[in-house]
Amino acid sequence: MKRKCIILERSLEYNRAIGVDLAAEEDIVKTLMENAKYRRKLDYVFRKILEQPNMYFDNYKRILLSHKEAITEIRLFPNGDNCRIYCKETTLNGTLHCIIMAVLVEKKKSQKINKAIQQIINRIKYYEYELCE
Amino acid sequence: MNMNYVNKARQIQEYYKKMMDSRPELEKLESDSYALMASFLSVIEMIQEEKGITRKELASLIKTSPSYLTQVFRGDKPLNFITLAKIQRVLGIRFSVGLKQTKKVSTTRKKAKLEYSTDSY
Repeated sequence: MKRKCIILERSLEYNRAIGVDLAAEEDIVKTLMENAKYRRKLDYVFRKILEQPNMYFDNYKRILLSHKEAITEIRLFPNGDNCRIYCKETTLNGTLHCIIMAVLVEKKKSQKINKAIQQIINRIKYYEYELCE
Repeated sequence: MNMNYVNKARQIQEYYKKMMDSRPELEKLESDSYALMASFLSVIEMIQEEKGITRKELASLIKTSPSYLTQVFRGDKPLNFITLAKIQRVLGIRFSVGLKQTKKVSTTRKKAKLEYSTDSY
C-alpha cells in the first residue's frame, strides 16, 4: 500500500514541491514548527530548494540515488544540534517533482552513516507515495 | 480516498500555514533577507564548481576563515556586502541587479520597467 503525503510548499518557478509523510507529520512538522530556531532554518532550506536553480547545497544533500528516485537529507544543525530530516525525492501525479520529508532524527550522533541511519535509508528506499488532497 | 486522511491532510496544511503566517514580522523579513542572500550564494557555488575552487580555497583567496564561509552558506550568518565584493573580485565576476514584481505597487511612473533577468553574472 502506498503511503500518503501532503504538499506544504510549492515552487513558483520550478516543478518542485516539498511535502511530508502523513504518518510522520507530527514528528516533523509540529516538532520543527514550534521551535523558532528550527523553523527559521527549515524556512531557509525550503526557500533555497524551491527558489534556486540548484537545490543541493550544504543543508540539502543526496545520500542515495537510484534511476528515478533519491534519498536525501535536510541538515538543520542550528547551534550545534545535528538535526536531520531524511527525505525521498519522487515524482507525484506523473509530473511534480516532490521532496517528501519522511523521518526526523533530532540528534544524529556521528558524521558517518551508522547502522541506525542505514536502517532508516533502507526503509525509505522502498516507500512509495501518493498525494492526499 | 479515506476522508480521515483528507481531513488530517487539511489540518496539517492549515497548521503549517498558520505557523508560517503568525511568525513575527522580523522573522519574515529575516527569511526574505536570507532568501536574497541564497540567490548570490547559488551563483557563487556555481562559479566555484565551474572554476574548480573549493570553499577552503575561496576563503583563503578572500582572506577569511573557511568556517565563516561555511556558516554563511549554511544560512547561520548573513553575507555582508564587503565579503560579496571580495568574492566578486577573486572569482572575476560581476553581479547585476534583477527585478521581479511580486505585487502591484502604486507608482507615479506609469510604465516602470520591471522585467529584468535575474542572471547574476
